[in-house]
This record gives sequence, C-alpha cells and structure tokens, in this order.
Amino acid sequence: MSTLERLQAALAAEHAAVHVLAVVAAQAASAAPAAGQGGAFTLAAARHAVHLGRRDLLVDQLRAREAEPVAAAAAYELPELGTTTLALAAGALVEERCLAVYADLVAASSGRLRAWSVEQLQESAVAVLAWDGLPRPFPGADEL
Amino acid sequence: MLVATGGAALLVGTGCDVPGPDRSADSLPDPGRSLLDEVGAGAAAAAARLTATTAAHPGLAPALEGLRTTQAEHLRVLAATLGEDPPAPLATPGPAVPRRSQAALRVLLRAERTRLASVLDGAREVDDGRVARLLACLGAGLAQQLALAEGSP
Repeated sequence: MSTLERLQAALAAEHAAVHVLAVVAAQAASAAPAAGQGGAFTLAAARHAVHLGRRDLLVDQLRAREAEPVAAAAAYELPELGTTTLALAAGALVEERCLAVYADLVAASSGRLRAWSVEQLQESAVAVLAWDGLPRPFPGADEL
Repeated sequence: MLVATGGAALLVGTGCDVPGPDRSADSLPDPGRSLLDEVGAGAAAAAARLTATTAAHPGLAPALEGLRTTQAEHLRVLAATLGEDPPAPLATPGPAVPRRSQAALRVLLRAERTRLASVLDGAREVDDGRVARLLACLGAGLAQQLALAEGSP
C-alpha cells in the first residue's frame, strides 16, 4: 500500500478512536461517583485529546498531499461498555488498533512522517498499559 | 472489533510486507541487514546484563521477568529474520553490577533506555521500510517493558 493509503488507514483508525473514547469518557463520567469510574473518565478524556490531535495532524498531512481525507463514519459498532473493566478493555482495544496502523505507516513513510509514526507507535504501546492491557514483544506486528 | 457501520471496515489486519521469521534472509539487503545485526548484538548484550543483574540481586528477578522474556523473544525474531540461530548465552562473565539492588536496577534500566533510543534511531533512519517497521515494533515492546519496570505506564 502507498503512503497515502496508509495515511488514510491511520486517519480512519483515529476517527474511530475519537468516537469510541468520547463515548467511554461520557459513560465513565456519568457513572463515575457510583461505580468508581473516575480513573477511567480521566484516562479516556486524556486519550481522547491525544487522538484528536493525531486525527487533525493526519488530515493536514493528507491535504498537504492534495488528497481528500477519509471522513468519519456516521456510526461505529461499539465494544461493550458500562463497567470500569469494560471501559478499560475498550480503551486498550482502541490503542491496539492504532498500533497496527502506525506500524504500517512506519513502513510506508520516510523522514518526518516516519519519525512521527514511530513516536505514535511508542506512545500508544505505553497507553495500552494504562488501560490495563497486556504488553507484547512486538506491539503493532501481530505476525511476529 | 471496531468497525464503521454501513461503511468499509476500519482498523483491521494489515498484510504489510515485513521481514520476519518466515522471510528469506536473502531478501534483506544491507544496510538493513547490518542494522539488524547491530540491534541483535545490542539485545544479546542487554540479556547478559539482565542475567548478571538478577544473579547478583535475585530479588529483582520477578520485576524484570517481563523484560527478560521480551528480550528473548526479540532475539529469537531477529535471529530468524537474519536466517541465523538465536545466540547462545554469553560464556564470558557478565558486566559488573552495582552492589546495591536499587542502584543495579537504575543502571540496568538506564542502559535499556539508551538501547531503546538507538533502536528507534534505526527505525527512523533506515531506508528499508520493512526493517523500520520491525524496529519500531521492537522498540514499542521494549518501551512497554520499561514503563512497567519503572512503574510509569
């Protein structure tokens, strides 16, 4: 796949991440006092901001290449939510999906875009742990 | 799986062409091959350092078990990618280890941070995108272990 296609795939992943994390944050906020989801809300809100920033940067990258950025979907099939455990699992899933697209963007890019992609890969890998996800030897490369 | 409803599936598997254990070593030319050799040598030295550290301070072993298994997996994949056998444990004495366990842990983690920076430099600079991807993912795995060992995920 070309750099443009990988950029579009990363943008699609970030659209999904922004959507899912907004829902996770909203649910955790409404349940926080009773269900002990204050930590999940804080984490979801912080990660939502990170993914918003990435999304905007990817849009800029695509427009700089005179490509039309892929639009967000009208709706997304959400993972099950409602408890702290499920919220954490949803957040970890979001980060895991981003790992894969940034690993592929690393392979399909060079220079500053490559460096940025490497950074996002590292950042999401550590974020997986914040969501109580498990470490892996090669995050983003499931075939290894 | 996160998918867009009514649209194309998002965030699904990649099928990216990468070097790996199932790839012929002949398909990996220099300078990518030399870089992976260098990263493998660094990983072997790091494994020896960890072994020496936990031998001197057995109480550190549980906290470093994840790092140990990750190093071993990195060595296995690097060797397979290069078409080689995984390196045998070094026969020479390991590096000197500080007498106090917390100092030993700090020295070990500092060396691993330096190694991580070197791996990521390689990922950023190597021409071969497949090698870059392998190194970036290896670095991400090491970053996870360091975050856990440092208590900062």
